[in-house]
Amino acid sequence: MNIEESIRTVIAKNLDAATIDWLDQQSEQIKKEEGSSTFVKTFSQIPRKLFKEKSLIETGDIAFLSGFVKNWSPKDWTIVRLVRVWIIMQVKDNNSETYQKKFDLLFDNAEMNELSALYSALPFFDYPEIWKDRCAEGIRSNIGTVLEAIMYENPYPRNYLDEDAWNQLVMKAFFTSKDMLRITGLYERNNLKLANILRDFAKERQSAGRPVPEHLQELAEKFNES
Amino acid sequence: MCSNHNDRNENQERIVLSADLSSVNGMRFFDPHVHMSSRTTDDYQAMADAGIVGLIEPAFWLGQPRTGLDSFRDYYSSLVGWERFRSSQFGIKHYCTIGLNSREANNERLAEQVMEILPLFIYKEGVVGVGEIGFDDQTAAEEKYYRLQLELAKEAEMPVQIHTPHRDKKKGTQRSMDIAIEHGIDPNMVIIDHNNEETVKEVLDRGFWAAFTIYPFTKMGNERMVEIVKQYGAQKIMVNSAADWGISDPLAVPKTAALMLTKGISREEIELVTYSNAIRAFAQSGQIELSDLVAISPINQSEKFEGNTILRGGQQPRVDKSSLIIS
Repeated sequence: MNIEESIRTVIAKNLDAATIDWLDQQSEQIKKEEGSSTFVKTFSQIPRKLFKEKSLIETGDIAFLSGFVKNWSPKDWTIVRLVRVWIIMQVKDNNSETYQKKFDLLFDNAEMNELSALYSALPFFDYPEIWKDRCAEGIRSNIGTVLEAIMYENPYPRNYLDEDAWNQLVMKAFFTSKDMLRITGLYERNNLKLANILRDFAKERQSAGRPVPEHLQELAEKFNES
Repeated sequence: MCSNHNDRNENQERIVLSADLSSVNGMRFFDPHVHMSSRTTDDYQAMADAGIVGLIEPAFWLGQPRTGLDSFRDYYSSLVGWERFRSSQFGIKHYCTIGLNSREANNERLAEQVMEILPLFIYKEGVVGVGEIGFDDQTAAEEKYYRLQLELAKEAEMPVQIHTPHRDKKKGTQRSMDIAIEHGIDPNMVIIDHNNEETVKEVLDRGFWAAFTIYPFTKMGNERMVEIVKQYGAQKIMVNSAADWGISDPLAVPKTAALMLTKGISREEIELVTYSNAIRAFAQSGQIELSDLVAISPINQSEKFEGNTILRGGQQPRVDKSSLIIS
């Protein structure tokens, strides 16, 4: 079983038969379509189809799904988000540029929850290298749930962001008081440049009489400029 | 403060910065028409304190004309994106209506393009109607795009939020209703807004929802609103603030509730007019979950707060505005 099949299994547990049928029908069309209209429409409609469904994924299922992808977990995901990510997995294209274009409309016009779902799906897009700029753009967002979707239990930034973009992610996380231990790769991706920025930031906080965020000193001390 | 100079005292009224809403402490309010994009976080904080648990922001114009499609698209995006999030930071559920407003319908070249992107937004989560649409000057172009959007609302099975013109209001309101009926729209799906003493009777008689904008100087006042409720009852009547860039008050709904209490209107009627009628009308979109609103506990204003208390579970820390200190 792969991650897509495992997600489908969990979805099937949570939805009624009619909705699953509809999803499967949409999925068939999405796999075949040249453009993205079915995909976009389906993606946006998920909350309407699942309107009564407000729950988060059950703990047991979270553990089950996490086993399929390294450093990943759908810990805070709603069923709606899980379905949306599964739908994203149905999009196919032989050409990386046309593939990426299929998602442009959604990213540009996304509603708050749609946007969070899209960024949650970063580890599952095909042609992973082409999503680096989108990821960096997402880190610039002020919408808290979007930042969390990128940062928490999401291996994409750890695996693909270049050093400067990674450093921006960590700084943004400290600035917006994120739960640092949930950031995948926080210790593995630590680097000298970041350590210097963090050291300066700690001094800035101390001069201002403000608290230095937890874990910041620890990261800064791992590299000492000699 | 300056109470030593008697002659000054006689001529100057002391400006009181906030109204006493303690009589409506614990009540929940819903403002179905407020342009939060034009308001600051101070307003959001005040609204949360006053018991507003949900609101609807209609798509409107920005005070000067947009010149390109992207401006419309980015604005619609902000209504379902950033503004929705900003509102959630204060524990207020933010819904919106999406549409091409009457003023900008007059730019036909642009209007045509906007019509094409409306379907991208009206089916999104939390979009509770097509609005605010209708007439401004009552031109042919306005009529054209009003009709087209009525059809869109009908196809999408969404409520319609209608802005009635401020100039030639009586005729404009009648025309808006006539055209809605002509297109086969169920009046129960239509909220006619910015009513006054001259429009209310026909709007109610013809089965539409009647919304009233409590807005200083230019629109409805709430003492007059009390009289309207006394005359027509509370059925299918709702109030809103339509607070925007102009001189307006985002606390109009709770203030109206408090005023109504002093004037002898029953709590049941107040609740209809400042909360449940609006929800019922727009919940026909299928996008309002009452449990979401009920889950928000109104702030107990008698509770003391410290400089940085976090309200409503993990949202914005409170700033003490009475202090000179900002830190």
